[in-house]
Amino acid sequence: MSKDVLVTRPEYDYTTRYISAWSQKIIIFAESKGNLVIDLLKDRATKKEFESVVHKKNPSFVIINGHGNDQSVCGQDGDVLIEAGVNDDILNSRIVYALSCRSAKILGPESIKSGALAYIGYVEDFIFMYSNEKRGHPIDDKTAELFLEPSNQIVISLLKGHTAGEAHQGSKKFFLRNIQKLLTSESSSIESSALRYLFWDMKYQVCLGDQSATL
Amino acid sequence: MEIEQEIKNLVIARLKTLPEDKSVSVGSEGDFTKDELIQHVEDNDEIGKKVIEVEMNFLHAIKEGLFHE
Repeated sequence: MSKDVLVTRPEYDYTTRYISAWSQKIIIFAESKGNLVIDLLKDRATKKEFESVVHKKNPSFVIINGHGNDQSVCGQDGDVLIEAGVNDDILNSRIVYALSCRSAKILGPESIKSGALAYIGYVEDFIFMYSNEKRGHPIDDKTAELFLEPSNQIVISLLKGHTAGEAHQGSKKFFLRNIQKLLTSESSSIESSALRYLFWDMKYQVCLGDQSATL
Repeated sequence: MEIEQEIKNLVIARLKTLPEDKSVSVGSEGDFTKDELIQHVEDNDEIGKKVIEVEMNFLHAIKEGLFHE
């Protein structure tokens, strides 16, 4: 198993553009820690490329960004990258973070059964808010930051050597801190409107498998 | 039925406070403006039901004091 990190970053609608843009931060961080990052961006985020890279590079950490459902997570233009009962065994012996809707409901547990060490993801939709005026430059969007920084925290924690369970708990604490900040500060009602969605994401983030797994 | 309508009205009232210049991404369901979210709640479709669930989850959490550790 290599120390390489595999990241999928489809970009074809506002949601995937935001998630992809914010994933740049974790790529920079991973590289600064000496990890080789395999970045499956846009048209490279296909099932064929994904499977090929996993087999060739054998990454210990797989970060899957993209639309999903209970059973699967998609790449560019909705191409299914991983599906429960089809190719979830590709995650065998790896730690996975899926920033994707609901994939921890079925795909997550099935991946663990197939040998994944840990699977961090969401059992419900990952919901976030963004500013319409920042859609052209998602990385400057302070509203989206409230959601995507706690998400990135999972990756940062794992790369720093924390366990999967600690990374998950750290992310939840980050969500809670953002919630508390909005509740207690003199934040505008505009920012406070994000509270309901922050709570949702915090509540439905889960860590399946070996809580003590590390990279 | 009456309670269901009251919940719907409460959720719509809360959604009306959302800012106009923001959108909400609900994964593969799509991105929604404030008015679109309200319309889905009024239509009582799958997205509307999800929106109600999100709001009620949050209200219950406030009631239970979950944010003040």
